[in-house]
Amino acid sequence: MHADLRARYLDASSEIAYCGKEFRVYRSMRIADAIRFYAALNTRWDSRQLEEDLETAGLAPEFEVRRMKRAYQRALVLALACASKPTTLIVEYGDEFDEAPAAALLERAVARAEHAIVTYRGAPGDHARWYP
Amino acid sequence: MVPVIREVYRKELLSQRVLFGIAFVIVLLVTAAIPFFFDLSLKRAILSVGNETTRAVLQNFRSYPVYIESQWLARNFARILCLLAVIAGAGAIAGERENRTLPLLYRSSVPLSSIALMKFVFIAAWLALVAASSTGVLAALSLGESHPFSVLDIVVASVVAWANSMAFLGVVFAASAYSSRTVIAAPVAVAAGFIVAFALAPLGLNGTALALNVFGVDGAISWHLAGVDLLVAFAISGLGLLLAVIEIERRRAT
Repeated sequence: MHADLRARYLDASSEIAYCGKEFRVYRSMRIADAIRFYAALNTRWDSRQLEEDLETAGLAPEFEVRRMKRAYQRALVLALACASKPTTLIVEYGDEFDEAPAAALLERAVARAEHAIVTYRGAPGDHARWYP
Repeated sequence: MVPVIREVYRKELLSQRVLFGIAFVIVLLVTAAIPFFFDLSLKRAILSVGNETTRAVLQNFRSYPVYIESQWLARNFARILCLLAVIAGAGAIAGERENRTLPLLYRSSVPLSSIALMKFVFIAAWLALVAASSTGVLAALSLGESHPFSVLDIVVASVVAWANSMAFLGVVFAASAYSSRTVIAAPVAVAAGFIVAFALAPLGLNGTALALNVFGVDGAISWHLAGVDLLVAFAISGLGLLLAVIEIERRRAT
């Protein structure tokens, strides 16, 4: 029973992308390196969608992750998480998404996902918003 | 699987290139300086102290270079490789947690334990490269002298030294899998290495995993000791890696 539950959990986890506030991409990489790395590690990968997402967030392949602002780093994590085509997207909201390019990407990702949950932490009356 | 391995190794090279490069150059420089400084310090020690034991041991060797090389290959070199294994391996998993890069790996199609295994092989290959280069430099510098060891002796001693660093690498991988901080994993691995070394001492394997000595006092290699050391070192390495994989999978499932 336990093994069955575990197998079902692992199956389900590939359908869910969780984009936490603290999640990061390797600082030693450029965006192009990160794309190559995560693309190799994922059998489900939508390169075209990722390109469009990066363009929406104003991210170019030659940018170095270590030199990018927090908002851009979060946008990159979100774009990479979405590239593996999850059916459910969970995003932990942060101030970084108040900046225009990251906000535009978040809006686009939420609109595209079959199910999306954006959680707010630390705000008065912590809550989550469910889409659709 | 080949593209995955290539990308994981590429990423490791990008992340660790500074550490790997500096450590590589330092080991080569130390190797090149060893014959010169050891010769000086040994001569000075004998002149000033005149220690009977030292004199007796040295008399058994055919020349100073024999003693120097056997000590370098058998003890200091193995210790340096073990230290490099701890430095390079401590952040392998704990570093990913620390830098918050682990969650994106959890979602990948490749199990994290496989990625950890690739990292292990990468660091092992780098240590082998350091060992081979350093041994090559030492052998080349000794060509002018009447060379005390055969090529086979040097190769065996280097392989055993490398195997000892593999034992430490296995232990540090396990420590890294159980820990959330690199600065905790490294000293835990060193302490565990010491404990393993002391635990093995009563079995007559006092050299294993800490202060390897595959040479007898006559400068000849002990094949029996080398064989047992290799076996024990790889067993410790495999056990460490197994513990790391079990912990990684357990954390993933919970």
